[in-house]
Amino acid sequence: MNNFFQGYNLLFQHSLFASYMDWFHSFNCSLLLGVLVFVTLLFGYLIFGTFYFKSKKIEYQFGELLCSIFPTIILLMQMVPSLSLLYYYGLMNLDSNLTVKVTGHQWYWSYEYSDIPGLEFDSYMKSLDQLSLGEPRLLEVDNRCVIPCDTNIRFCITSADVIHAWALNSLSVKLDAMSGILSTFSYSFPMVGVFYGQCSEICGANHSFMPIALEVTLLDNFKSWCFGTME
Amino acid sequence: MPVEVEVPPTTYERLQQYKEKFSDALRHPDSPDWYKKETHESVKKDLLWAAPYDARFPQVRKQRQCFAYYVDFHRCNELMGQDYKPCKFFQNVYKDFCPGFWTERWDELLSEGRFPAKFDR
Repeated sequence: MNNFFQGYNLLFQHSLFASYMDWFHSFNCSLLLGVLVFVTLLFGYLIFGTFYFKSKKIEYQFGELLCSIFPTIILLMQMVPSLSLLYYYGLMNLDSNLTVKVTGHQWYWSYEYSDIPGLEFDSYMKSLDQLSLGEPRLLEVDNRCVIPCDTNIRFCITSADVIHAWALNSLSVKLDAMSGILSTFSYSFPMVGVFYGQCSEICGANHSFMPIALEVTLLDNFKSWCFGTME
Repeated sequence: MPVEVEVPPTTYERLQQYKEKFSDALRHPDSPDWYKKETHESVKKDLLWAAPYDARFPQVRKQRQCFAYYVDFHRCNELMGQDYKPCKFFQNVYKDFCPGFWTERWDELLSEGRFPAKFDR
């Protein structure tokens, strides 16, 4: 779909929450466009208008009042969907069924699963000579993080050195990984597939080469994967 | 002595029990259970466990909860004895939350007697 917002749209979203976030983003962009057009027309009127003395008026209290009312109305328009999104996200966080611990390193990610020994692995980017046909460049990793679908997953994100950010664009997930701080969020993945992300906080020379690959699969497949991997 | 508290098994323990009971084979590809929601829900309920919500730590940042449960586990062992079964709940929670390299570091400090917490009160 080609429109004014083509370059501003988010990627194709893979969960209901991310679709709401996409709508909210487009809504705010349309408000921005409205404000831009309005202010441009107002400046054009003041510059090119025939009523010369009106544009030179020193005190215009009603205009000052309008400059307060219009931004307030715009903020109130933004407030309703914003709070709705927060509330909906809170509903997703009521409980968790599985915990995945993510640790950022320079320059790779480590994953642990709850207290399962053996399910601790590092996730490095695949180099060009390791890629198979169809695997995306600079995004595929050697060990993907595998999680079951339709399950509340709690991610505990921290860092072992500098600040990283664990981000998945198509699921509207982004959380800083800071040393000594354990940030958590809960998410339920409704779609089976492989989703990619990248480190989103500048962390050094290879910041662009520590991708995130998340493989969402059925619970039975996840169970078999655990049996095959754990000690 | 307080009433006996049943500690729920962790995900790893449930996986072990499941493997002993059913073996680790994947379900048959033609099984109709692939299309039954009740089967998936029951497997999820039986197999997955995560530390429950603790209202003392409602924030997004959970390092205090991680540390508090680690200390509570060792305090429970100190005050109630090593063979007190409900102490395992604290261990389950901190192993669920804490990154492995944190607890390894703390265990090292504990063995050297330099861990910055008191377990006798």
